[in-house]
Amino acid sequence: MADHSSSSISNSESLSIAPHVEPGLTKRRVLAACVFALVGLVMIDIGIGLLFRMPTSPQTVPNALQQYFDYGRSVESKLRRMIGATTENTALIAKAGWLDEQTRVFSAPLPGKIHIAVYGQSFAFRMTEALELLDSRFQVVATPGGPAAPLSHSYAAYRADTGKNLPDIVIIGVLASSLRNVLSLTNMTSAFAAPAPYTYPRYRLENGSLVTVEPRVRSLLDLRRALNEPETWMAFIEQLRAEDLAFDPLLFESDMLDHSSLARLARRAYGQRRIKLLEQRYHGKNGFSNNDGLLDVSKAILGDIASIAEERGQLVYLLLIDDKGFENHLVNALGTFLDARRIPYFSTDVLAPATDARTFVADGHFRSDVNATLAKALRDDLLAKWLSQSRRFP
Amino acid sequence: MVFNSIAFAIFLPVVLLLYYFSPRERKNWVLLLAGYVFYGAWDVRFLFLVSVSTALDYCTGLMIGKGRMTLAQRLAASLYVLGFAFVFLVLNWSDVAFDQDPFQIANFRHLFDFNPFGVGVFLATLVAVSLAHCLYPFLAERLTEDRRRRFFLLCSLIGQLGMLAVFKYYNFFIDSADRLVGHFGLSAAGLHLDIVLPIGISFYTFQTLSYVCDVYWRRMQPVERLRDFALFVGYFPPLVAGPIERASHLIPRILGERRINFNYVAQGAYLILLGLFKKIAIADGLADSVASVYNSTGHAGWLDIVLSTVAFALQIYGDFSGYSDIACGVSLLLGIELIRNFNLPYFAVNPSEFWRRWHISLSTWLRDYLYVPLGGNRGGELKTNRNLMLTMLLGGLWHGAAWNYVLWGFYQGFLLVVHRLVVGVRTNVQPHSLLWRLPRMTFFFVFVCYGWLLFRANSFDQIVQFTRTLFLDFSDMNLSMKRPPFGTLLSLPLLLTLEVFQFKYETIHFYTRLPVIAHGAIYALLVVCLLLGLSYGGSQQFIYFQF
Repeated sequence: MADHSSSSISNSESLSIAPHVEPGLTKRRVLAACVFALVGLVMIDIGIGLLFRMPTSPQTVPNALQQYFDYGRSVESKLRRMIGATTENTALIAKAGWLDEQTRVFSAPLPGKIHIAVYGQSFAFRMTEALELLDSRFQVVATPGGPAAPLSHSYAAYRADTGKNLPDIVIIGVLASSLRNVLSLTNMTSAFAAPAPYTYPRYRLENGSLVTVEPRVRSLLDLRRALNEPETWMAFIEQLRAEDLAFDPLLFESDMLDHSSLARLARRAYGQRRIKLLEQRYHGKNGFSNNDGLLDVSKAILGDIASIAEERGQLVYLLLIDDKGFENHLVNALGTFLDARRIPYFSTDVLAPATDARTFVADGHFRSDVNATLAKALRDDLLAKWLSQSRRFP
Repeated sequence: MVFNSIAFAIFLPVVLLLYYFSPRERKNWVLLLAGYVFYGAWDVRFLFLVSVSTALDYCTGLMIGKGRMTLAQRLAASLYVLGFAFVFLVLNWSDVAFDQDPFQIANFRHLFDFNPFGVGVFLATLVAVSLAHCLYPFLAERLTEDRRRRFFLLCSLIGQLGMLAVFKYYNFFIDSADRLVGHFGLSAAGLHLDIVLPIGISFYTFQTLSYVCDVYWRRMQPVERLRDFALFVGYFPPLVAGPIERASHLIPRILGERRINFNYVAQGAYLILLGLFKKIAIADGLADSVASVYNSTGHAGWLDIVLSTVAFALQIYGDFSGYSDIACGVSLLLGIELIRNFNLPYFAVNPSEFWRRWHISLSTWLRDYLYVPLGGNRGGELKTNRNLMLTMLLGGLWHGAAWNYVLWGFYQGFLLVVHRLVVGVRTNVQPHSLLWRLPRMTFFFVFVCYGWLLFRANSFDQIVQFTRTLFLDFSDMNLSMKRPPFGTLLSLPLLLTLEVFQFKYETIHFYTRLPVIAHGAIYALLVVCLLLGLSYGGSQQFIYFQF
C-alpha cells in the first residue's frame, strides 16, 4: 500500500491516478501504422510459410515448429499430404489403426506361457510391455491398435479376431480421454491438430442392442481411393456429418485458409474452442456424463466383450486408464457396472494418480517407472484372477 | 460475459453502435442497460443485489449530503429495487440461457413459474421499503444533522459490508469455526449455507462505499438522479473486476460532456489489443504450467516450485492487468477515462513502490478509506505500523475468503513495515534508471514471488510444504512443470520489450512517440502473438472474477 507522509488525502490526489491519454495521435499516423501492421502481418505470414514449410515427403518427420504452424490446417489437407500414392510413400501415422488390415492368425503360445492379447492404444501396450519384461511367464501379443484408440475400435478388433490359438487372456485398454470417441467413426476431427486417419465402426444402442454403423472408408486403400474420387469423398464426408459428433466442416474440409499461416492459427483457435466445448459435453470436473448415451453405449460394448470372451473361454481383463485431467473418473463411471457383471478390471488411478504431474512425461503418457509399478500390480492382480478361475498355472 | 469471449465480441459492437448513434441524453440509458445485460449474463438473480447496493447508497448518499429526498426520488428508488426483485428473483429465469451461444433462442416457457424463494425475498424487500418510507419523516426531520449523517453512514456500511459478509465471508468463518470447535468434539457444519458468490461483489461494494464516504466527508455532492447513480455502479467496463472507480472521478464523467474523439478510440483500441495479448498470450498460456505444479497432488521439487511461482507472478499480472487494460480501452471507446490500475508493478524496487504500481485502485482505496481513517501515520511509529498491518490484512481478506489470502495480506504488511523501519519513507521516489533499478528489481521480485506463492497455494499444508522445500530441500531439481506453449514463450520477450519502452517513455502509449513503422510493427506483433495464444486454446476465466 502506498505510504504517505501526510494523511490529509485530497480529491485531487486521488484524481492523479487517472491514465494519460496521449495527445497528438492523428488519423494519418494511425492509418499509416495500420498499413505498416498489415504489411508486417503479410510478411510474417509469408515468412512462416517459407521457414516452416512442411516437408514434401510424407515420410519425413516434420520438426516441432513445422508441426506447430501446421496444426490449424484442415484435416482433409493434412490427409492429402500424409497419404502418398503408395503405402511406401505414406506417412507412418496414416498406416496405424486400420481394422481391415489387422486380421490376424494367432500363433500357438510358447510352452509354459500365459498367452495375452492386448487391444487398445499406446498406454495399454506400454503397460503390457512392462508386464512382459517383469514376468517371463507372460507372452503378450500386441494387436496393432490405434493412436488413442477408443473402446469401439478395440471392440471391433476383438470381435474380428477369431480362429485358432486365441490367447488365454484378453486385455483391453480403455483410455479416459478417448472414451467420447465411441460416438464417432474416427478420431480425425476430435484430434484435428494431429489426426490419425484410421476409422472404426460406430455402435448405436437401439432397443437395448448394439447396432453397427460401418465407416465407408475402412482401410488405407479406401482412404487413398476416396481422396482421389470426389463422389466417394463427399459420401464419406456426408457419413461423418451424420455419425461423427465431433465433425465440423470448418475443421475438416480444405479451403483457402490452408494457404495462410496466420489463418491456420485462427482455425486452430476455433478448433480448440470447438473441441473443448465437445469435451465439456461428455466430461466435467465431476466425471463423465451420459450425454448422447456415451456411457450406455460403452457399457453395452463392455458387456458384449465379456459375453464373447465367455463364449471363447477367455479371461477378459480391462485396463481403465485415467490419463491427465481425468482423476478417477473412468472407474467412477464404469466400476459399478463392471462389478455387477463381474468383469475384472484394473484402474490406474491409485498407483498412477492423474492429479500428480509427475505421473506423466511431456507427451502425456505414463513415465516408464510408473508403467513398471503398474505392471507389477497388474501382474499380481492378473495372476490372482487367473488362479481364481481354476486355470492352469504355467 | 467475459472480455475474451465471442459473446462479448458481439456485445461490444452492438453497444458501441447504439451508443454512438443515440442522442446525447439517451447515451447513459444505453450504458446502463448494457451494464445490466453484461452483468446479468452470468446470473440475472444477482442483478437484484446490484439494485440493492445501488438503491441503498443512492438514498444514504442523499440523506447524508442533503438531509432529504424528494417524493419522486424515494419512489424511484423503491420502484427500482422492487422492480428488480420481481423481474430477476420472482420470475423464473433458470430455463432462459444467454451465455455461451449468443444466437441461442431463449426458452421463456417457464418464466412465470414463480420462484418461492424469490417471492419471499420480494415480500421482504416490500416490507423493508415500506418501513423506510414510514421512518423517513422521523429520520429526515427529527434527527440532528450530525446524528443523521452518522446514522445513514452506518446504514450504508452495515448494508454494504453486510451483503459482502454474507455472500463472501459467511461460509469462510463458519468453516473456520467448525474446524476450531471440532477440537472440542463440536460441529458447526450445519450452519454452512450453499451460497453462490456474486461475481464482482467486492469491486462494486468498494466503489459504492467510496461514494458514501466521500459524501460524508463532504468531498463531493450527492447524486440527485437515480439513473446517474445506477450507471456509476453498473457501468460495465470496470463492473466485475475493476479498476475500483472513485465516485469523485467517474460520476463527473458520467454527468459531464462526453468526449469521443479519434485519440480516445485509437488508444482505447490499442489498450484492448494489449489487454487481450496479456490475458490470452501470457496469462492463459502460463495457467496450465502453474496448475501442473500447484494443482498436482504429488511431490513438487525446488525447481518446480520456483519456476511455477515465477510463472504465476507473470500469469496473475497478465490476467489482471490485461483485464484492466481492456476495461480502460473499452471505456475509452465510450469516451470515459478510467483510473489507472497498473503501472509496471515488477519494476518496483521496494514494497511501498510495488503498491503504488500494483492494483492501484485498490491500494489507494485502502489508503484513503481505511489506512487514513485508522490514523495513518499520525500517531507515531508504532501506530503507523499497526495501521499498515491492519490495512494490508484486510486488503488480503478482500481478495478472498481463505486463510492464505489473510496470510498474503499479513506478508505484504510485514514487508511494508520492515521496509519502513529499515529505510524509512525517504526512498519513495526512485531514480528513473533501469540499470540502477535492475539488481534491486530482481532482488525485490524474489519477495514478490514468495507473496504469490502464499496467494496461489491451495491449502495451508501446501504453503508449509513448498516453503520447506524452497528453504531446506535442494535435492530434487527435476522439472515436472508443464512447459508453457510456444506462443507464450514468444510473447514474454515482447511483453518485456513493451514494458521497458513504457518505463522509458513513462506512458503506456509510448508507441505514439516512436517512428510510425515501429508503431505498426507493434500492432502486427501483438496480433501475431494473440493468434498464437488463441491457437493454444487454454482459455481461462479471469482470476480476479472470484474476488
